[in-house]
Amino acid sequence: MTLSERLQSIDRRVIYLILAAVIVGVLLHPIGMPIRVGKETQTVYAALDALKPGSLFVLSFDYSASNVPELHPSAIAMLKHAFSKNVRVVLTALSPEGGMWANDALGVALQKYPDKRYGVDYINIGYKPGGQVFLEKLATNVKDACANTDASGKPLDSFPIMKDFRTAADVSLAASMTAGEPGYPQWIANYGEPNKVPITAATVAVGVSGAIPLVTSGHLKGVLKGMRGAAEYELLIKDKGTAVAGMDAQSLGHLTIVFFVLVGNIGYFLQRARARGRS
Amino acid sequence: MKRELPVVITSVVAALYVVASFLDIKAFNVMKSHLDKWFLIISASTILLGVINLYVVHASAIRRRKPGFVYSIILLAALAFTLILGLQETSQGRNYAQLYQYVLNPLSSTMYAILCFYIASAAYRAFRMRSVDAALLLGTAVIVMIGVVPLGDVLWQGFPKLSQWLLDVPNTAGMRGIMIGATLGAIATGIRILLGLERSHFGRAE
Repeated sequence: MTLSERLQSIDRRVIYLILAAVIVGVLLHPIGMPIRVGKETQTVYAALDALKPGSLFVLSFDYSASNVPELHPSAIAMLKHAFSKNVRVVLTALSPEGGMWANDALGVALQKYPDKRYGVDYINIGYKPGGQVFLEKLATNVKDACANTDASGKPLDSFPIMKDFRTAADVSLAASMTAGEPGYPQWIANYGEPNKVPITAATVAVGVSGAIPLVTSGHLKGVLKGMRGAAEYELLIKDKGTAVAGMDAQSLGHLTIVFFVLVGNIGYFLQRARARGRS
Repeated sequence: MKRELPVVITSVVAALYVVASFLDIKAFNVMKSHLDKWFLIISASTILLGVINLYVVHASAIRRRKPGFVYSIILLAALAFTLILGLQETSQGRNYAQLYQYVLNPLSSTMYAILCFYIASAAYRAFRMRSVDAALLLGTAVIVMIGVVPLGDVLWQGFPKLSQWLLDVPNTAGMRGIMIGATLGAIATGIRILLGLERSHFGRAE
C-alpha cells in the first residue's frame, strides 16, 4: 500500500481511539484557553439583565437527555442570573422530558439561592402537550393552557406567583432552550410576536445556522450557541460551570476532526499527482 | 358520506380557525378558545394511542418470534415497569426520577455522544476536494469548526470573525430562502387541506 493510500484509509478504530484520547485527556488536564464572549451571548445577557426585580421571566426546557451537555448549562446559568436579579421565573417545557430537567436545573440554582421560595419566586409548570397550540393558549389564559396544574399536579391558583401570571402581557421575557421542534420558532410565532413578548433562546450547535437569521431579523434577542454559548454566559455571570470545563475538549475535538480531514485530502492529492505523473 | 364528512369537518374547522386568527370577533375568539382546548386534550390522548400502538406492534413481533423479538420483550418490560412506577409515584416520585436520571439519561446521552466519533470518521472519509464545490464546502466547514471554539481565537483572530461572517451573511441568505420556501409550501398545503384537495392525512391516498 502506497503512502497516499495509507493516508486515505486510516482504520476508523484508530480515529475513534485518538479522538477519545484527546477529549478525555483535555477533560482531565484542562488547558484553560481564553473564551471570548460573542455578540449574540451579550445580547441574551443584556435582555435578561435589563429586567426589573419582580418581573416575570419564562424559561422553557425544550430538550431531552441527549441535548443536556449543550443546553442544560445555559438553562442553569440563565436561571441563576434571573435569581440574582430577583426576577421571578416560570419554568415550562415543550419536551416531555423538559419538566424533569427544569427540576434538575432548579436543584443546582437553589444551592446558590436557597432563599427563593416555590410558588412565590419561581414555579415549575412542567411539560404540557400541544406545542404551538399550548403556547397560543398560554398567551391568553395560563390556567386553561396548563389545566390549572403545576408539574406536581397542584392547582396553579394556590400559588401567589400565579396572581401576576395570567396572560402573555404579564411576561417581560421568554427563553426557549431549543433542541428541535417545538422550540424557539414556535415561541416566536405563537407567543412572542403576537403578544410583543421578547424571545431569546439557546440552541444546540447544529441548530445555530437556523437561529442566526432570526437574530439578525430581530425576532430573537440573541442566541446562546451550543456549549460555547453556555460557557460565555457562565463567564458573564461569573459562575463557571460544566460548559466552561468542556470548552478545551470541544476545541481539541474539532481540531482532531479537521486534522483527519486534512490528512485524507493530502493523501487524495498525492494519489492524483502520481496518477498524472504516470499519464 | 364516510369520505365527505371528514373533509367537510376539516374544511369548516380550518376555515373558522383561520378567520378567528386574523379577525378579532368575539364569537370566533370563543370558538377558537374551545378548539384550542380540544386540541390540547386530543394531543394528550395521543400519548395513550402511541403506547397502545407500541404494544400491538411488539406483542405481535413476540408472538410470531420475529428476528430480534428479544428486544421487543425488553422494550415491553421496560414500558410496563416505567408505566406502573409512574402511575404509582407520578412523575415527581423519587424512584421514577432516579429511573430517568440513572437509566434513560445516560443511555440517551451516550447515543448522542457516539455521534461525535461517527462524524469524525465520516468527515475523514467523505470530505475530499474533488471539485470547486467540494473545496468550498470543506473550506467553510474548517473555518466554522475552528472559528466557533476558543482554539480559533488562539490560532488566529480572523477565524472567529470569518466564522461569524459566514453565519451572518451566506448562511442567513440561504436559510431565509429555505424558510420562505418552506412557509409558502406549508401555506399551499394548508389551502389544499382547507379546500378538501389534500386528503393524505385521512390515511389513504385519494
